[in-house]
Amino acid sequence: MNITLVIFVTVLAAYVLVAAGLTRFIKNRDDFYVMGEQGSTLLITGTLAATFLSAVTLMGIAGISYSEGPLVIGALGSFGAWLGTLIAVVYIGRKMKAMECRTMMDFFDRRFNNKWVSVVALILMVIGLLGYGIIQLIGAGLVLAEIINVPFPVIIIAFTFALMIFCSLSGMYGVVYTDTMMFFTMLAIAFVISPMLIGDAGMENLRGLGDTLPGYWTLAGANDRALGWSISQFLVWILFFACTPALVSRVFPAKNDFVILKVAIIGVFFAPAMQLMVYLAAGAMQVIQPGIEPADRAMIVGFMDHTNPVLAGVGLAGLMASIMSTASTLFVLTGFALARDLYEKLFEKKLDEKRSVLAGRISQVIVSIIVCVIAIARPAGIYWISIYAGSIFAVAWLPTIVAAMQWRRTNAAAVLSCMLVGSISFILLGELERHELISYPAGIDNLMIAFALGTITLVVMCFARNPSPYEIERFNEMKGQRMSEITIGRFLAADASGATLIREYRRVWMALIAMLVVAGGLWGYFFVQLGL
Amino acid sequence: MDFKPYVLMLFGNALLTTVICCVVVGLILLREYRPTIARLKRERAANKRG
Repeated sequence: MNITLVIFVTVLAAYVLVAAGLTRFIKNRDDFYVMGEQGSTLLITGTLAATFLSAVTLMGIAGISYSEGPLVIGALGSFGAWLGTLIAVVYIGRKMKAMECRTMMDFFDRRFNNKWVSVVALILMVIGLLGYGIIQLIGAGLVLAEIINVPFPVIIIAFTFALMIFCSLSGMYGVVYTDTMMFFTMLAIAFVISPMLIGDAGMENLRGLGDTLPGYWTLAGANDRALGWSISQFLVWILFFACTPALVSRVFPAKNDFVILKVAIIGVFFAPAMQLMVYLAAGAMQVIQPGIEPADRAMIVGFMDHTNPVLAGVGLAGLMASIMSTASTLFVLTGFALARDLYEKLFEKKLDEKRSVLAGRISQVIVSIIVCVIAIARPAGIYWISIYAGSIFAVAWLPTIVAAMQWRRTNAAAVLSCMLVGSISFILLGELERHELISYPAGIDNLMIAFALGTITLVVMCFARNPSPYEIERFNEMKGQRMSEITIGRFLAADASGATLIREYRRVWMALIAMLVVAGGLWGYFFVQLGL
Repeated sequence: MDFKPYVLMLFGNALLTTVICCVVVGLILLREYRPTIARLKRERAANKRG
């Protein structure tokens, strides 16, 4: 048995065992869907950061950083992703949590109470989550199969079986705890393996890549990409990350508002920290071993051939973590959508706590089987869906959610029109471009046009139709729901003297100052080393 | 010294992300929590004196 296979089996077994042990915490539906709102700063930071760092960072973008330079995506595209994550946590997620949403679908249901809005939002969510999740699973699974030398279907069956176990047995508990375990292996890649590779390459040689590959340390990169492309990447990533359920829903299990605020500081710090370390290490691989083909294997070659066997194992575990953490979040949310939003709410099934949890578990098994079958069969359709799946939330959900939170006139007809116009025009314009029937000016893409069309439709419909009394009432109620007031109330109910509240308040300030110092030191160091 | 402006942009944006996070969280703390915290501190001080 080769060592990589041993690591693969051990890591999967560890996740499954932890998740199985957490089953005893599942007493009711809140435990299953939002881990009883007991998420600490460490757990929510862990699940957020692990979900953020997907195989795309470790392979696709690392490959671009390797061949074209770390700034090509890192300087603007990733910056959009970091800001989008902040918006997802501190604005959308925090507001939805104040409204006591357990899933993002709860927001649409409560705000509009309209079956069509719920049905369209649900369909878009399931397509978006599954399309994005399955294609990542396939891509990374193929690479992993090659490294471990195990047939691809076996890898997929092992992954989906593990995901099924920890999603169905312990729901959100399983996902959050295993994500946090995975977060530590990712930290090892970012702060142990990456600095080692950078050290092996040497800062001077890394700087010198700009001489051998002109443009390597510029925004355009070695392939001289247009500025419009970089700006387009920034917009795509900020719009996508701001309202993707994978990130927004990480806030729902948080214990209180102080946890959310600390996660907004610490968790969002780890997004650039982990990504930029990987991008720089990919650059270092260009020094250590130029000519790796395909380029997206650069980091894997770095783990396997340029570190010791222990770190190679950690690197492999980190790669698995990047696949599984994103996949587990996407698939658990799809299961929640089927059980809670479709079966219980849209079909109006009144279930007691026990049956609700059972429905949740059954839906996780169903999702796992569907994912497994599609990933192994790899139908052409899944590749087509994946082109549009991830970004569908940006064009269809983001304008509607922001308007629903901020604008009193927002009504069900406007939201429905925006979701349909945004998603259909996005696909239609994408297909026209793909078949070379139209082309867009530099820096403009179908996502931006679809986003604008959807938003214009939303605004026009909001003026054309008045909101119903229910929608006005819910808007006013929502405006009065604040996480800070809920948290203050709960803290003072538990400790009337306010000592605990004051202590937690001070801790957030301390975290804020500490992260400013850490970020200033870390990025200042790299700028001095590489930029001067 | 060979100043690379785009490298400043890369690490500057990473730092800016944390700065923006801190400003946003700081504003939330000041606007939504500080009045209550200040009141609690006054009450605790008054209780100690009393």
